[in-house]
Amino acid sequence: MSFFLNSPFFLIGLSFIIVPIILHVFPRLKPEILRFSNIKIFKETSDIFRRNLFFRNLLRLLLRILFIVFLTLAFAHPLINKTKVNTISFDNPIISFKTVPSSLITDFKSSIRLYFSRHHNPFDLEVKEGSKIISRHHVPKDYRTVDIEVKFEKSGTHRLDIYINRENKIAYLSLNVKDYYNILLVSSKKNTLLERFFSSFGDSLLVFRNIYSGNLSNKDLKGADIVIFPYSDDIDQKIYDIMQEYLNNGGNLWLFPSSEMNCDFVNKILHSYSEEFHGFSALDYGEKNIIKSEFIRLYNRSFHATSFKVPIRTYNLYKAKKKDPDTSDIMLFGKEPLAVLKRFGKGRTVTFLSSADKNNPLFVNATKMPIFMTFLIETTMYRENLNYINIINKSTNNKNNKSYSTGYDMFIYLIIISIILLIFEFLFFLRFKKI
Amino acid sequence: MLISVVPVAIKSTEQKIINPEIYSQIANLELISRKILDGFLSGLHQSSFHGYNIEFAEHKQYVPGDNPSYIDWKLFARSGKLFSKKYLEERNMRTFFFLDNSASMGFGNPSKWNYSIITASTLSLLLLSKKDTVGLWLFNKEISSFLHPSGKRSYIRNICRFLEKAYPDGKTELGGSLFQLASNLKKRSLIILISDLFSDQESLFNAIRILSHKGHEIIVMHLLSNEELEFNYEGTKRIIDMETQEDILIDASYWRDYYKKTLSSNLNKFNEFFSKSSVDYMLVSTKVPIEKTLFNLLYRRKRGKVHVVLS
Repeated sequence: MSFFLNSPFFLIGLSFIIVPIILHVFPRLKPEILRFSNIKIFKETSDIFRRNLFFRNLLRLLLRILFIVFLTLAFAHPLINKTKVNTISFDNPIISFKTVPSSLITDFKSSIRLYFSRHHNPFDLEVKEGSKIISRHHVPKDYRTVDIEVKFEKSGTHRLDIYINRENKIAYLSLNVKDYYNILLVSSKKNTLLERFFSSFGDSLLVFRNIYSGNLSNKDLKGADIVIFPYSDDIDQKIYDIMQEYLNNGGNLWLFPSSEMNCDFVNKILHSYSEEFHGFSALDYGEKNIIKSEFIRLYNRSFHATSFKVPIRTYNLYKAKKKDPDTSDIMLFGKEPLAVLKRFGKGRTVTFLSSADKNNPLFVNATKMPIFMTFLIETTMYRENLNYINIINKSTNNKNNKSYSTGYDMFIYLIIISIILLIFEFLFFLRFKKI
Repeated sequence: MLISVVPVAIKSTEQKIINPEIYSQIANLELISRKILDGFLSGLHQSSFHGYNIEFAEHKQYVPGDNPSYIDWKLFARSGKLFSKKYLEERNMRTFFFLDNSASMGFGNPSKWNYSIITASTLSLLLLSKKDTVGLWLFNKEISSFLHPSGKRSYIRNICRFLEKAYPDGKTELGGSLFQLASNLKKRSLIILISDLFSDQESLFNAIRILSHKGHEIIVMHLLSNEELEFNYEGTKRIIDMETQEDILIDASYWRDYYKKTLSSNLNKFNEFFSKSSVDYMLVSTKVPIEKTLFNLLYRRKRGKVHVVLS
């Protein structure tokens, strides 16, 4: 069992022990003289009484000294370990991205969540990118997580060094953080609307490239965060197989309907969604707004049928403030359904109900809203399967440094003992009317 | 026998000790002897001397040689036997104040000494005004000085002057002093002992027994100051004995209970002894006004034996 003080500075309070000692000794050095008629009574006292008196004085002195000692110790926060001294360590950090939407632009911040072992003392955390200090954090006692928000000047892969700063740099963690998306546009013909849309972000946050649908291979999909098919009729059986594998491995697929009649791939995907969507096998894109009307039917049905197996919830872009990817199945734009969001294997799909056509006012108007991109990225990012964060180096603190030892803080017990001692002192005072 | 007495005017020379206000409150009371005492002047108190002009006492069978003028002829007419009448003559009372002037009497506020001399002088004035004789003895470890008894009214001046000159000093040896007094007093008298009784209890009790056995009537006024009774001191004190100059370091707060307990035990012994004896006993705190103490003494004495644990 080890013992150490968390705030040894408070031990300076022990110097107050001199006060009761002075109170005890000083009156005996310079007593007040009293001429009394007869001291025979005092002279004839028994030894037992004198001994009791001596012990009573001693007890009171001890009581006062102990009160000061316990109170001082309480504020010094002594920790007693009953188990082996644990060292603080970083558990696997998790990264997520926070969006900062505004009326004109959509901005992004990287948010890294660090996990720590349960018992630890308060410490300071410093995050550096190269020699530049990005942020400092104070982690209170036993806090298990810390969220570090970082806004990088340029998108790319960044190296972050995270130090636990206390007395010395004891523990550190080096991370490679990637804060951009690789977007792959797969189409047989150019879609100027989407190209312009992604280019409007300016920074290299969204790195997109076009690829001809006929040349698509598994190799092309490697490293792609989002694969977009602006025209669903480009999908043939080969592409379907490639995409199914991609989705099963945790990819993200955005799918736009085309005005052409070939909807087999879309139907296959929709078939896979769930039983409830099987009815869409007869979807006919030749007729305008059929998909839309079917989804509205499902959307309406979700409010009335309690036995509906797949819960359908809505996400209204106008009111969107916070992402909730697991509960947003239908994205609404106003009252109009815009897209269906679904898991597909480990991945996710966003099936738009409106074609990416510049003549389609529903989609064009939706893309003009900053929240649109935010929503899409947040709902699409599938954190478990994307290696946005790589741990380069990791260390734990020096075991000899006990500052980070876990232990039971004796503060409350010492305070209780101090209060009990104070009560005894008060009783003494009431009994003898003497300080 | 009560006789109303016109208060005597107190002269300015006596006012240093005797407070007229105190005196006026007790002037109408008397210190009456309950024992038969040997006075030599006609006064208020029963005497062992038998005369003819005072109060009938008893009949005695006439024997030749008796004064034939005392024969009760009416009784002879009824019974045919000769009896002579016997009378009790009322004589004056001899009172001695036996004042403790040891150093311990100087303690307290007001000091016990001041309290005792005011008490003694006021009672003296009362007694002198009733034609009783008053004498004074001062003692510490032995009898230090005395004032011969006199019954003159003007003798109060001598008493006051005598008390003014005296001051508390020396150790107390109460038992020895009382033995000394017992051997000096030939006639039966009233002895008023005013002391704090800080002395050996057994020798005191023995001396009291002897005095009582000799026919003296004794009133003990046990004087204690409020400080002695309550011991309301705080903190650490070096206490110096006023008589022996010995000292002891004590923590008053811690000792208070013990002191009061011991004092109470001592007082109980006095209480027990005096309640069994014929001696009047008054435990007096100097906190109590003198007039109240004197009134208590005189009033209670009129009604019987005085035994006041604390007045």
